[in-house]
Amino acid sequence: MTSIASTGVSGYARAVRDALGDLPPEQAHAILDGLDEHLGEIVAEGAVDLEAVLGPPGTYAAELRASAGLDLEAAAALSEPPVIVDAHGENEANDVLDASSPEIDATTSGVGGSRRILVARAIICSALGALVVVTIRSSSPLNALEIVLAAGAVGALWWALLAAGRRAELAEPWASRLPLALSAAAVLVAVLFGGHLARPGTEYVYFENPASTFPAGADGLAVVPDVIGVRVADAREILAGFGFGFDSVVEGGSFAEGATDGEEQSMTVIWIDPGPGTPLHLAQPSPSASDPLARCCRQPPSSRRRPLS
Amino acid sequence: MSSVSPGLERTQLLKGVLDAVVLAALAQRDGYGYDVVRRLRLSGLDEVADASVYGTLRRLFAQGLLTSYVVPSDEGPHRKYYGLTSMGRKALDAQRGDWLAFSATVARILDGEAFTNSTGDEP
Repeated sequence: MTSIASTGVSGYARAVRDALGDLPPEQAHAILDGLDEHLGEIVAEGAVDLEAVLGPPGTYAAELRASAGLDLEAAAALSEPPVIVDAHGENEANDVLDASSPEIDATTSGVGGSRRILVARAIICSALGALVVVTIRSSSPLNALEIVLAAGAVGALWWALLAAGRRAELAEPWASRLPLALSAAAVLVAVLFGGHLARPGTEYVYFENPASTFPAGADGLAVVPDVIGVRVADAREILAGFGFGFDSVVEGGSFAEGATDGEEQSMTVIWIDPGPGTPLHLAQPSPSASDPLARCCRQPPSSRRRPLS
Repeated sequence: MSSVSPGLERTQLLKGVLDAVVLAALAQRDGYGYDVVRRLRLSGLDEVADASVYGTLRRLFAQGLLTSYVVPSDEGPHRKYYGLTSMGRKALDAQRGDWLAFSATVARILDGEAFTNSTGDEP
């Protein structure tokens, strides 16, 4: 008996949700939250057939829509009045009560409130995503794609949690699972491909003869060719890898101080940054002084180290 | 021969006061959805529809006029009770005042009293 009653409640509630499927999720949630409990109360009062007590689900949904102030025309357009009977199905039929309450403005502002909530949620998602990226890559600047991906990943995850929490209140199983599935897919794509999409690929310099490649200039500065756009902060990291006395690099000029004129340098590892906002890349000594930058796409230099010939 | 309703359309009248009567019912004591429907019907509003009451409850709740809590039940489903917030009580007071003033005006018009002083030539 209980199972029959619960089946009636769920079936009726599902039909009502179907009829309100065109509403935005926030509005649908505002109306339908507690519908199952409410219908269960009617069943508990002795109603066996909810449709006999409440009328067709479509009519019930239209009344709900109207009484919630969402669509006045829906109730006005109803051609079939609902049947109003008591829980035992014994009372008389009545006219439709397309009760639209006067607080339409308040309802409208509620829609605006939902939009504000969405905007606030989007801002918070972006902030969280940016925070994640900053935490992960605290030593390097972020590029726009990384920020978007991270924000999307965090936002999608958050949205998925909300959708999971509310899926029982959505209209259809597929409708309840779709946001979750899309969110999971977004997170998966961001995790699997986000890094590759964000990084332009691995470029590194491969020099065989550091002495001829990096001659110290007449002004006492060693010229580091093809190392362009290095930030001073990153240059400290570069110099830490040099290990032979350079202590600064001039941004944009790719100069390093500390070397004497013509001094041979035994370069082991240098880090370069080919452009603002991109990660640092590894450069290795090359056997040829004439070799320019070598580009080895998306591969760690250690595994794809080779000179251009 | 045109069909003219001999009486007032109570459902139309109810539209404008449904918020007030729902608030008044809950001011008496907290209640769940069907409980409110039943109390309104027992009070004489036979035509009140379940969906209208439920939708009104949800809207008033969304407007902050009602609070809600779930009461577990061993015998039946959990019931979602509604009660008035302070905003709800203020809204009820305001709507009660509006209704009393409005209904008094209509009553004076229907009784003919409203026109007595204004025309000054009562037959």
